[in-house]
Amino acid sequence: MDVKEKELVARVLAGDSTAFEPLVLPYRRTLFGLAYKMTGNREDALEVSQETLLRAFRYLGKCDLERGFRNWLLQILVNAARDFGGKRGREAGRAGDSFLDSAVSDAPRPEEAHDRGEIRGRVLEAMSVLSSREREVFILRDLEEKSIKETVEITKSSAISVRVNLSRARGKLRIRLAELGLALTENAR
Amino acid sequence: MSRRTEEKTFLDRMKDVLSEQKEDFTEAEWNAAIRKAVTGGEPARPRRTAVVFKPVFAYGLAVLLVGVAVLFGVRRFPWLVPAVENRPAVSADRAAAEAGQMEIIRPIDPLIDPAAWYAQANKGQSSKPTAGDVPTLTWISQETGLQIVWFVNDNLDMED
Repeated sequence: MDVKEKELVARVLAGDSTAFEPLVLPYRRTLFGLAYKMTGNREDALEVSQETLLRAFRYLGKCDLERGFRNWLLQILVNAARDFGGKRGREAGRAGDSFLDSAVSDAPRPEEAHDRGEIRGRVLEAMSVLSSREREVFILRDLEEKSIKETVEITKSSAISVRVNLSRARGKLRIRLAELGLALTENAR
Repeated sequence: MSRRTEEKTFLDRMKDVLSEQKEDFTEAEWNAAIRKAVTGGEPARPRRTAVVFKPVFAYGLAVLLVGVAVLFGVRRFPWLVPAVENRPAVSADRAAAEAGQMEIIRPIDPLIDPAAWYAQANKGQSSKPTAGDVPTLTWISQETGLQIVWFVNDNLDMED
């Protein structure tokens, strides 16, 4: 954590709540983007990222200043997304593992996916086959390019678990994308 | 294309597709989220006291566990603790004084008629044994093997 962040954290903890926004502002897009990839739609992403900010403010005193604010924030986001996914799943009367399913159920069919935005929608839909753990690991490691160590820290799981879930996620995605007609290899470009 | 290259291409393509995503808070959403977060509650202070007390709790728990383990061990494995004499201490002169008056009481054989046994035990005494059944109570010490038999006389006084 840099000096500026430490100062901002100290100010917030001292009761200066105006220091909270400059503290989280550099992660605004990261937060929302990650929440979007995890939930698959804008409304849910907004709810998850709002909850993340709320928890970050409330539990700021527990942040380990030596380990870094960014990963701590992402850890909260992952937990918030898990909780949200569980809640969604319970509300829908399902296992609660893949709330992405409902988010993309009204997306257009593969043959209608003309532009890149729709391809992105297909990719997000393909990600709905992943379990919450697989999705988290895949997003953090492959899309956000976090190291295994960082992914372990953020998801609070073991390195073996991260590797296994990552491997499964890649395999499942490849199969699902092929089913959707999106191989995403050189030939598919 | 090797599997590794194919995998890399696949992941690059995934990143490429998803990185185009320009999703972000609107200004109004961002401001509302910050306001909601800040008004949601006081931020938790660092728990310095918890850090101070942690070793104390750990030591206390350790002592408690050792105590429980010792208690458990004594109850479960009594041979771990030295045996304690369960008999009262008797001074040598008192023991000698009582030696002459003491009478060896033999364990009663359940096959022997208690009345006959009573008669034998009181041989030479002036009082006659009571005819009929003689109620007795037998106490056997599990530790020393000592057996004490009480006979109930006519007045229902216990005599050993």
